[in-house]
Amino acid sequence: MRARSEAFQLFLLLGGAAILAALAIGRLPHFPDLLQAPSTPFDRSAMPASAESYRLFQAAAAVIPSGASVAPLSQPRDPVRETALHREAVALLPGRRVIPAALWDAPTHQEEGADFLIVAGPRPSPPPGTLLLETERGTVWRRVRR
Amino acid sequence: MKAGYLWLSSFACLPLAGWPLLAHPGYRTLSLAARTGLAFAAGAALLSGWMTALALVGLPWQPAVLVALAGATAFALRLSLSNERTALETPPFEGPAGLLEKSAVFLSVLSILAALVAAASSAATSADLILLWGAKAQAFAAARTIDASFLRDPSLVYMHPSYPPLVTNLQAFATQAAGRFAWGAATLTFPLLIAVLACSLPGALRLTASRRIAWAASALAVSALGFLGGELGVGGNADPWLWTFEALATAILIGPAARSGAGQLLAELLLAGTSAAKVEGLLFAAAAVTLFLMLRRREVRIGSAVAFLVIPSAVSLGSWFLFEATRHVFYGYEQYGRFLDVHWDRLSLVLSGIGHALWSAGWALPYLLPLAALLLAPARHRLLWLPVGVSLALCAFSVFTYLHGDPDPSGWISWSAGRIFSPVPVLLVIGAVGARPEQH
Repeated sequence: MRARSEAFQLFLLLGGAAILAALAIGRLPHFPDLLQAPSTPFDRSAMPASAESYRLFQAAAAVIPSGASVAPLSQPRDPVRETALHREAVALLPGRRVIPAALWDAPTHQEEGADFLIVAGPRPSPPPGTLLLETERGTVWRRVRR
Repeated sequence: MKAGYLWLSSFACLPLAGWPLLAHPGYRTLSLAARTGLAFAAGAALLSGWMTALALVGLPWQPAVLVALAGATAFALRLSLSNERTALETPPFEGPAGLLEKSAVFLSVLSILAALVAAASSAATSADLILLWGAKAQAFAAARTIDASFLRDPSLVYMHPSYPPLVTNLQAFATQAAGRFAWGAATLTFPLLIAVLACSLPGALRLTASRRIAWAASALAVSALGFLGGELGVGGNADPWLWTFEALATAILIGPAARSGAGQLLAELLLAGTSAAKVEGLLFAAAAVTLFLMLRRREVRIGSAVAFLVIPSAVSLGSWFLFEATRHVFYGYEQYGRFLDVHWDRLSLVLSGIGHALWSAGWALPYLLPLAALLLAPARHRLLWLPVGVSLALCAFSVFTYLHGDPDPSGWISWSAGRIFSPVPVLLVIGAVGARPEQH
């Protein structure tokens, strides 16, 4: 009787492990997709927008010197999107002073004080400064002080 | 790529730091794999503790010095064991592993590989990695300390400045070792910690149950966490660290090891890691110690057990709270609304939100299967109330928290409840093992 009880518990434990392992494998990306390495750590995550930002900020980091101040903007302007861009820029532009154009989905208008602007989306018009870089995902500008 | 390898391989220093303690003869009844995994966890708690202490006294971090300090502390703790009867009891000898044990190992390996593929393909990356954990760790590594000015910045308050420091400390350590924060490598801490758990949990449970039950229970715990980790996206965040500390501490506290000085010392380090890993880790540690003292009061010397189990967590978390207060970062932990301002009218909304969140992760199977293993266990032992009681405390705390603050907590629950409740399956599995009468 005792041995049967232990066998039943073993069945539950191993059977449960097999079901959950199968579920985990079943939720993986399809095999052909797995053969292509992701270009960012966020490509297949729940926030694909972060993958786009990652690519843009990585490219921007090559032209924005350490210690400079930079404000990330969206085009067209959207404080919700700019709140997210600020948070991602803080993580992805180490060594730069990241100035928020929006916080908690509300505009701050602090971008006026930034040396550089990163604009996610199409090229803004009129140009906010000297164009340093243009990619599919956005542009990087050095602000012209008046 | 090279920085990524360096970043991840720097965690090899953690078992090295913890090994002087785990090499003590008192732990030799555990397998080498179990001792290595436990040394990893103990080393992580010690290294992070020293990082917080050095930040508190204003000394900059240097990776080699940190490893040396953690290793020396492990050695000093080992010396504290030498004058008393400390050895863990040896489990009865069993012959070579049979098909069932091999099946358990196979399922664990399969779950680790699935977690590895999910993380490496970026499918398990946590949103919080970029929002807070990675950003904070990177800033701390650059400052070579916990950067109080960064935490005080009002535009960065979304990073939760009061969150306990273990995960950011360890990620900052890896960043210092590698020269930069490696975002992709950080996501691989999820399969790494699942593997650490798969190495050490079978040995820790083996002290309580037969080998086939211990290994099968570990396989279920590992596969539940492997699935939940991929489903919830925990790559690079604090949850896998919390799972590892909580599972190992609970496995020791319900077994005969907790009667010995060696077992209590190990449990203390794991609980210190738990309370420094996430906010709810403090609740876990408090509930686990309270239940341990209630359930095992006749088996242990209460005074020494309290000292063993409480002092390290108090030192670890106390140094963090002191740092926060002296640097004017925060006092204690953030709260979601006033403590007694409970909106009971939202109870049905909160419960249905939690139910939906748990159901959406594999039809709640990661919870229901361990629950079935617990309820249908062949016998009952009072020690099962330790993991079950801690689970109930965590659940009650989560519901209580969701009844505060936001008038409509649905969104908050949908992105957080799965992770908040994620330790419960492992606790239920350990409860299923604890439900068996002790074999000694």
